[in-house]
Amino acid sequence: MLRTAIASPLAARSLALRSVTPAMTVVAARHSSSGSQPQDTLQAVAAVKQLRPTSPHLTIFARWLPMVMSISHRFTGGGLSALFYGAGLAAAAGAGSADFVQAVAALPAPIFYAGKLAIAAPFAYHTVNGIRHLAWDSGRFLTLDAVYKTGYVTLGATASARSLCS
Amino acid sequence: MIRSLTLAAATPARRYAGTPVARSVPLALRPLISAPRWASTTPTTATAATTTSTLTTAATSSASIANETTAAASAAPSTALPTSASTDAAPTTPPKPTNKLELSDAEQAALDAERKAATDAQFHGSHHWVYERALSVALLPTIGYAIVVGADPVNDMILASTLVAHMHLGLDQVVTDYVPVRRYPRGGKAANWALRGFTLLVLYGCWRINTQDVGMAESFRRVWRAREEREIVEA
Repeated sequence: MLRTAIASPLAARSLALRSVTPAMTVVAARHSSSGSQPQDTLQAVAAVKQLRPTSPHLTIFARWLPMVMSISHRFTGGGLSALFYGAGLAAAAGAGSADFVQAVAALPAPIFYAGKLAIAAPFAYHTVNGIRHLAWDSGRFLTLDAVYKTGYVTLGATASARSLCS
Repeated sequence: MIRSLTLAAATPARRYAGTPVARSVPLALRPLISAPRWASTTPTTATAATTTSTLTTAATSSASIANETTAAASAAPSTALPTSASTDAAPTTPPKPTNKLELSDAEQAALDAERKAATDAQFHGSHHWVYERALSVALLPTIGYAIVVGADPVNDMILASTLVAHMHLGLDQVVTDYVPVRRYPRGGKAANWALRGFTLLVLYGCWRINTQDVGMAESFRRVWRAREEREIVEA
């Protein structure tokens, strides 16, 4: 079950303040172990609210493919960018191409080939999906049917990314 | 495709049929366009314009066209006014329309200020969107050239700039979505500035590889073929 994590206490307090009924304050005051200050009551109310179950949302969405492909586009883009930025920072720190080649050649064979696939597949996915995004931005392929068909094209290109690895 | 993208981004929003004409006209030009029907105070001028336009077709101006439509919408009751009003107003014909707008200095200054404000706002809005898409399109031939042809000093520089810019814009969107400044004031600000710092360092790293080393495309090719080339060397 997914629970929304409230990171900052300010957000937690504002969430509690937004919709607090008198009944909830009574229940929270009964459950709160510390004193009956207004601040403690609000925090107790927020704690009680967080214990409630959330309705299913992401998992019950019927047409899940466009949603999953959209987040995968961001995920692959972010992952590839993180890798590139890591390499770029290493290069800025003084590493040259020979150092990169040495470090990569020292990897054991399975990790080396798995790593190449782990870069080629997201790259193919992000590129073909990016072209799909640009087609959408120009007004094409915006029907549900076309979205699914172009989505399958992207997945096909990702599956055949192994040809990039050789 | 860039042109269609630009056109798609620059076409103005469609006006609903119920919107009065004055709403779609910029603020500085409004005094020159006739007031809408509900704002007219003298019904006689409306009927006078209607009668003069029916009498003299050459004397139609943009104002009278608007008044024609408004008068036509409220047809029968207003035309029942006596014709004495029309003869009084007949000598004063409305001026002929010209395609050039004769604006006073103040009106021209107001129009320029409004256009500049809209353009400045557009640079953070729709123009940024178009430039981002143009950058993505420009990335395709650059990467294709780097994969197919390989090392090339000019293409390596173009690759460095476009790729790092594309990555920065994408990561900036991720930071904006997941560490918003409104919810995490200090965390969002720190993430944004950290991203900018990293981008500058990565740009310097790419520049170093391109100028002091073999170049981005060649170094990536060597890393990609590290095992094959090592076996060739060892064999």
